[in-house]
Amino acid sequence: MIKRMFQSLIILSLFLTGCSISSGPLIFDDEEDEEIIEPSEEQKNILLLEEAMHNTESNMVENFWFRAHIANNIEKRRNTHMTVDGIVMRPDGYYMKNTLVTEPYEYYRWGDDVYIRQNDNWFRGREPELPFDIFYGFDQWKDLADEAIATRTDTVLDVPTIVYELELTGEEMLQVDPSYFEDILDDDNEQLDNVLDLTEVHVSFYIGDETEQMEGREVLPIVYKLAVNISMPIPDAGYMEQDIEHFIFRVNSDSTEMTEREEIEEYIIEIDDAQDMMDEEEEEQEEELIK
Amino acid sequence: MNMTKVFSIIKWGFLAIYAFFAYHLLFVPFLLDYTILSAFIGWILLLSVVLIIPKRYRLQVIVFTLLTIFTSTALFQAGSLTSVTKAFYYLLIIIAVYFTSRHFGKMPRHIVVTLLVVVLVIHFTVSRSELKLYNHFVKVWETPSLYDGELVDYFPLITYDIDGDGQEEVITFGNVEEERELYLERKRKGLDPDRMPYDIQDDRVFLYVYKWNGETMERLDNDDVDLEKVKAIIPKDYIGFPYYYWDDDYTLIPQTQKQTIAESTGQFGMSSLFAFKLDVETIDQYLQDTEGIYSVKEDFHFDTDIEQVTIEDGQLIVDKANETLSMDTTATKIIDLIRMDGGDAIILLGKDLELWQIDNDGEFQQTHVLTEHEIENVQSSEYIIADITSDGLDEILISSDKSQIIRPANNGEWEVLFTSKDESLRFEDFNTLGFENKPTIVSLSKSYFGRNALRYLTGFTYENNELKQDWKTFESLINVRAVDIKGNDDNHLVASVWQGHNIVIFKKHNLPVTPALIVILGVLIGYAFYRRYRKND
Repeated sequence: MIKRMFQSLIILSLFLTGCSISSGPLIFDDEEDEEIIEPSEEQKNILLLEEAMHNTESNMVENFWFRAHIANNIEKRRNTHMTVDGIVMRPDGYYMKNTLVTEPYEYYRWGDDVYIRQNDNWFRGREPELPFDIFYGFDQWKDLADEAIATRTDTVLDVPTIVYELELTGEEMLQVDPSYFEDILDDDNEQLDNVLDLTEVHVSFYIGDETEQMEGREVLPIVYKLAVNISMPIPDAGYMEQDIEHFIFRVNSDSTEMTEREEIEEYIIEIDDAQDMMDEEEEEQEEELIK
Repeated sequence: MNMTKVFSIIKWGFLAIYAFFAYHLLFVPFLLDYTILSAFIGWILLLSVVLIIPKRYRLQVIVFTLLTIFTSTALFQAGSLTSVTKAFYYLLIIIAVYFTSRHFGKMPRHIVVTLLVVVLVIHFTVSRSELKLYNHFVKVWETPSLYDGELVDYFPLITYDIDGDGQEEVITFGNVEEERELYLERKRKGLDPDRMPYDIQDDRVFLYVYKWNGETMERLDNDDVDLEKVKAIIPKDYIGFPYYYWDDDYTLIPQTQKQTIAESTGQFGMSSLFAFKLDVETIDQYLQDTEGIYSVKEDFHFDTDIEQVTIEDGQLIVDKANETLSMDTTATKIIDLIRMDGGDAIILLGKDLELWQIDNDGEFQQTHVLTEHEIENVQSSEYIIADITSDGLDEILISSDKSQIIRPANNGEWEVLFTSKDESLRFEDFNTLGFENKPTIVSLSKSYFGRNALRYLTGFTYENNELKQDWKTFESLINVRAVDIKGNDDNHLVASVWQGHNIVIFKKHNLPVTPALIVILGVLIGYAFYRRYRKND
């Protein structure tokens, strides 16, 4: 009896100490690329990128929800900032929830009035830097529309689309909007030339495919999504992989509603009061520090 | 007090101590680390142990054991004894335990008192945070949280012998000791009329360099640290990129503001242009700091005639004793040198991982390349170059989604020595621990049980396509490395706690804790048998 007990104890202790992890298959994980469905000639002929860009800016689009994010990956560090379910009501209003690194905040704009919400307080914003136009910046891309190639079909939240793709170098990216990049272009900086030479930008426009209708919803010949991937050399850290994505959904949906501006005005905290609040907060901090 | 009573107190006291340690160091790890089947077998074993206990003591032993475990957990949850409220909680726990054991467990008073005394002594002497390490380590030192802020989830942790005295210093970042100064800085900024309440601000952190002073780790005054040397070895870490630029003084400086971000990224066509502009401007600042140098390395893990390797402005420059060679490169980082069949090679990280040899004519030849095709996320993977098979040639330990160990073979091929089956395995270091001669692969691996993604500190030895587990603790840490902090070749583990910003150092002991606990379990079972079949009991 004792002997058997001892035996089982030895087995148990072997079990607890002598384990090892065996290897998986000794090969590289050679995943096959996803199958690409190329658009037909008919689809390509009907859907022209430039036309879609034009449509997007027209009053074909009245209101919609959008989602956008910018994710930066450098080695194992990932810095993200994303907007979750923003709403646009043309021609006056847009609202977005945003997170910068770890800090959440909200942005509300009606015409030229801007409000920003942080830590449950609404503040009046600065004078906006860009005109109110959610499709601002689209014009700059129009010159490149001819160069983009329709490569595949895809969906944007179930909406059938055709994808037009474009490859640019860093230098070409600056030429998309020379006035916006004026400072960089004017700066005669050789160090940056190398960075721009090695930078690759991949742009994808997702255009609604009218030839494939959806049940209950209309597919418009507009740009539903813009996805940009930037690969840039980073000193002592390989290459940064940056993904910028922006897509719209619930286009012209009746359920799109924004909080009334008056409602926000009610809760607004004026800058002077905010300054007082900050001072108070800092005094508290000071007291804590003295303790 | 008669001898039987003293004897009884010793026995029950021993059971309480054993129950506590066996629960935390045997039972919990067993449950965490094994399959559902073995956990089931474990439960059956435990149940049979219960059945062996003589009937008249069974209830007492069960209630006593469970109460020991529960009481210590309850006291731990109540927190440290710092206020009257806490004292009241402690009192409540003690009263509850007393009545449960007296009335439900039918225990004599002296046993209950033994239980409470043992549990309280354990509670005040054994640190819970270290407990899980005890099977293989003892803690030598720990810092409090060094960073007070929410912007950064972890800072680099480096160890390096800055002053060349054989003791390695521990280098990281923090701001707790400089709080007061930071407060004054913030106050000055508060007066800035341009500042809006929602604007993001500078976040300054400071270099924290610790050195062993014979008794403990002591923070060095930054004025006494050779900053030039330290700055050169701190790996570039792009915290908050591109929204923040981490300057030469280690201040995180915002490159944009929330309103601008909202307006630029809310605009469909602008977001990528906005991001690209931020990227270029921020990179420009970093390049100005380094004067165009991308990467420099002069310490390699074996002796070589290569004195320094540099990447500068698209050029790879190799300095040897009597010549300097260079070529164009798209790589941005020098990983290390590697010893392979047919000579040493330089490992570079660019879009791919590249191996370059210098031939007899002084020409660079690419011998091997590892692309996204072979390894998913070549960019975000980490590479350790080490000779884990002790054959004089190096292997590459890749920590990635599917961690692998590979080595360059002939004709530009790769030989895969090991492929992880799950996504949690990470290689942290390859070094000896304590005074051992045999180096260990210090890793983080998940428990075998369930889908818990926490990674636990594990030591492995590589053998025939297997990682043999040398030891494992159920502590979850990051940035772990084996370092000689005392300068006596007794390597300790230095690590940090994710999002906790504390640094911990611990030392390996070679006490057979787990086997001892198992043997004691055997002895206890034997004793139960003895009591059960002893006549007149």
